[in-house]
Amino acid sequence: MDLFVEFLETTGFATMTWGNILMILIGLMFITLAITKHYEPLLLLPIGFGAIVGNIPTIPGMALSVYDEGSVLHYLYFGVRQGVYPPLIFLGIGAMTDFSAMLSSPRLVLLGAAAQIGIFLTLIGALYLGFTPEEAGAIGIIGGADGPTAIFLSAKLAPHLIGAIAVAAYSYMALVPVIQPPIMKLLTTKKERLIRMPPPRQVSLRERIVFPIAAFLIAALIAPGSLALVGMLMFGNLLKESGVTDRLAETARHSFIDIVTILLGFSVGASTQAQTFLTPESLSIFGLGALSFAIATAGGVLFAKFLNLFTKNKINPLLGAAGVSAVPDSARVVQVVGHAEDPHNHLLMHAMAPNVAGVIGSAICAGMLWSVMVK
Amino acid sequence: MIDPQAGIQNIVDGHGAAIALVGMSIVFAALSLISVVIAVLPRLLRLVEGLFPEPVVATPRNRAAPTEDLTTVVAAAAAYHAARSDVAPG
Repeated sequence: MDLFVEFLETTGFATMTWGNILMILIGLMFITLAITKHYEPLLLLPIGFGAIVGNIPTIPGMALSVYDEGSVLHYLYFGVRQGVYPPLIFLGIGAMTDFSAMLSSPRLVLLGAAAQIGIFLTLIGALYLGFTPEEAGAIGIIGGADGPTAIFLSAKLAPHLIGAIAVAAYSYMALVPVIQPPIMKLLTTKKERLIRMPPPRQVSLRERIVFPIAAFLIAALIAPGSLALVGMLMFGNLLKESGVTDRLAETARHSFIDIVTILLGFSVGASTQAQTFLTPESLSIFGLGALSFAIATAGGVLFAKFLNLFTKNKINPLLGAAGVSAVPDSARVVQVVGHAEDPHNHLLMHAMAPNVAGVIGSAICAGMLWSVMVK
Repeated sequence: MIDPQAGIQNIVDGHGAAIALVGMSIVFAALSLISVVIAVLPRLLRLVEGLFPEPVVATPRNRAAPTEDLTTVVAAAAAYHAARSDVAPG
């Protein structure tokens, strides 16, 4: 009988806290949003299930959770903790990204730079709330709207905040279609939203092959901290564009990125144990994350309007919103908002230019923050 | 409750404004340089093209057999042309 009572005391029912129950409910909410609303299902579903797994109370002395050395989850979480998975995801993203839109409109690249203001103003906001500079840097990168980059930098600067930062980054990325349109409409006039862009020019194969090498050299030489992220992104793209490594490119953009996404999403979810996740800091991170997305969107739109003061060929300022690097979601939002004003105005291809420039921009910001804050 | 004085002091101590300024300058410099390279690249490649013409490589992409859809479209176009010019297709 004693043995039975002793066993009962080790079950999850006996040791479950209200915090664990809340986190399990949040996990269920993520799964529901992924299945019913299709909000970033490839990420929210693994994160949601991981959150459920991570919030089952474990038995002291048994290596079970991501934080117990020697457990299976601990090994899976290694890729998150050491920032291994994000560059591998970038390899897959590179192998599926077509930079032609960007190559045909070089001036739109600057919109991707302007949107990074969200990162730095959020950093200042995080410092104001009392976070350390390292923590503030890791929180600020949420404004880059790039999940892998956010995880990479928080693994380097503030590993204890990875769970909250990753969940905030991916949650807001899933909410891009909800967060961005009101800001875009608020900051633009109807006349501006109706601006049509000239059709993109044809980009040669040689341009597409030279670009990833040139862009990598520029980014990595200016911000060596971005070497792993930009390097893998451009390597993946070269695999795609070279035309001689189709098998490798195919693997990188399908099976490979899928495997890494499963491992990343699940282990990030499993790291959101109530005891480490439900803290006032996490709430602040969620608040700052929402703010950073809004600022980044506004930054891109306002910079496009600023450029229009000096250029003859006006840019549709909606394109500025695609400067946040949520690829391709924010480009799709630009298309939808533009299309609502004029059903014959197709902005998607043009929006892909600042969108992919934003990916490079946020990786450069991450590299820069890492290098200035590394002890 | 956050003490505004302490918050501002934390920004000053953490060099928040300087990091933001330098960070934005770096990202603008990097992406401006990339933008310039993209703008100049076609001209550079035209020079290279003169010296080393781009060979037509039989990559798997352009070597692939026409798809059924493409064959149907070509056949339809041929039939349309033939009907217009009163010549039997094929």
